[in-house]
Amino acid sequence: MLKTVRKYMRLYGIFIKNCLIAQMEFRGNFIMSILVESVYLLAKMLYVLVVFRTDLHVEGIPPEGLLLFIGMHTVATGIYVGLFFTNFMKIPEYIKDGSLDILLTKPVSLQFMASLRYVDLALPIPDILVGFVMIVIGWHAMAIPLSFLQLIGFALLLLVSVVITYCVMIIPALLSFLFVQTGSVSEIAHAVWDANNFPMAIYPSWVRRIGTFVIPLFLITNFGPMFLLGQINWLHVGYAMAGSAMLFAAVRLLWKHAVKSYASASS
Amino acid sequence: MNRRRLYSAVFSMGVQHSMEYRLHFFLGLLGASFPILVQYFIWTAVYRHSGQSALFSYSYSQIILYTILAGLVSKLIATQFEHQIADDIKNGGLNKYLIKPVSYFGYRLVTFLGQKAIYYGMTAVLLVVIIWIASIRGVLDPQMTRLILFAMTLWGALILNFLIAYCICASAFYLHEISYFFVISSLLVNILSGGMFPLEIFGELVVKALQFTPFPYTIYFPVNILSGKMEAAAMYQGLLWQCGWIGLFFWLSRLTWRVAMKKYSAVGG
Repeated sequence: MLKTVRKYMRLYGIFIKNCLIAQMEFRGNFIMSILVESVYLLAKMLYVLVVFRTDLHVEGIPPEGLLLFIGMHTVATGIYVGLFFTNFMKIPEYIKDGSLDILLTKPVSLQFMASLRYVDLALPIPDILVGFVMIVIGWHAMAIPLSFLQLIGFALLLLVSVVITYCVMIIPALLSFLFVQTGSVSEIAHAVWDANNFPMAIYPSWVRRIGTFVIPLFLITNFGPMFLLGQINWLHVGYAMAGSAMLFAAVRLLWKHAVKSYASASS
Repeated sequence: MNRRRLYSAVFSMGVQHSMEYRLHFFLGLLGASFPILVQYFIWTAVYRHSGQSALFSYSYSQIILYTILAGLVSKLIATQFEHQIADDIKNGGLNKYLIKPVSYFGYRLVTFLGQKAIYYGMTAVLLVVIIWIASIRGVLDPQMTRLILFAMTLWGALILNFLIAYCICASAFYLHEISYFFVISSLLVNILSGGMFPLEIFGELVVKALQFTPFPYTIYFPVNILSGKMEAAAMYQGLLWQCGWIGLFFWLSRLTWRVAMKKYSAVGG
């Protein structure tokens, strides 16, 4: 088991190195990627503008405190576009043109190859930088103690957030095994992703329930800040970790099931 | 084949292309409703907390109406042909249009209108429902002049957005890797057009400055004509500005393409 984990970690390191070399070959593209994500970030910052210009308080949390949520969302977006986005967009292409065949022949997990092969190192830079700056501002403004336990809890919930992001955002790619053309499902998924920009408290209770228990999207950006603000405790952190592990297992089963319906499209 | 038959065939091709994957088409429509829903909840929270009857000069009902209409209009006028044009320029697909008795500009415009025809029909139905509900609730006063001007400026917005995008496409003659440029420009155009938020959130000075640019005349202007936020004089003045921008961008699109075509080397094909 440990040997397999080490093998996959080494392989993932090679993927990152390979992607970095490829991206450094066209430096102009690397800079343009940063620029593109910066413009998307600028669009997201309009929400911050609205929050501060209207002095929005959500359940007593002032605009500076809301930066914890918006910052967490920005960091999660950076992780998503850096680690998963390119891969998830490529999966329908692999299915459409039959290039999944060649991945099937590799002596590693097909899901690992198809969903983690590409890492974009440019796209996440603006998101992660600005996101963490917002978190630091919010952390400081809400006078949250900078203790080891707070940091550990927050880091664990960030990890939960990465796992859930993977599980939720891969669903349109899984659907492409059935429908091939799933661009609009991805579009919906990205529109829903933006719902996480704010604390889930702004949504009615039925939306919160769906976003927590059916498609656990709100867990991605809400649990970290809620833990820092003392709204949830270590028990909830444990639940979130167990829940994300179960969700990953369910997605693994779904993937296996979906691959069974794959019929090669190449010649 | 005479021109009328030629372009009606191109138009019908555009319609068929938009309906190629029907589930994809209808899910696309559904996708447009999610950003509207998210903004609805955000604005509801903002107004509930502030306790004020108007923010950025919009009442709660007006801002919700703006959000819904801006979402619909921005989806309606969205262009998706930039990559196809860039591909035609890069890989020599443009060659076949140069040797045939068809104008590339006309071909793209008619295909674009064809692709938008079904969306336009569905948006029209949705708009009738929205206007009806809004007028029952007293948010909107459906005056005939406003409805006619809205319909006119909506067509104007569609053409103006096409022309802006077509002008931007001419840069594909000079830049090799263009997809990033399209992403940035379309997002910026959408923000400056009021597609995400009403322009008033940027402050009065920015709104005034933006009125001298073509962007507000694609989303912000038609939506505010319908919502009744714009006074009669400003509506007609805006209509003139929109026509002026369409004329200018029509001329610019011809000019940029004529100049850029001299650089075209017609490889591949």
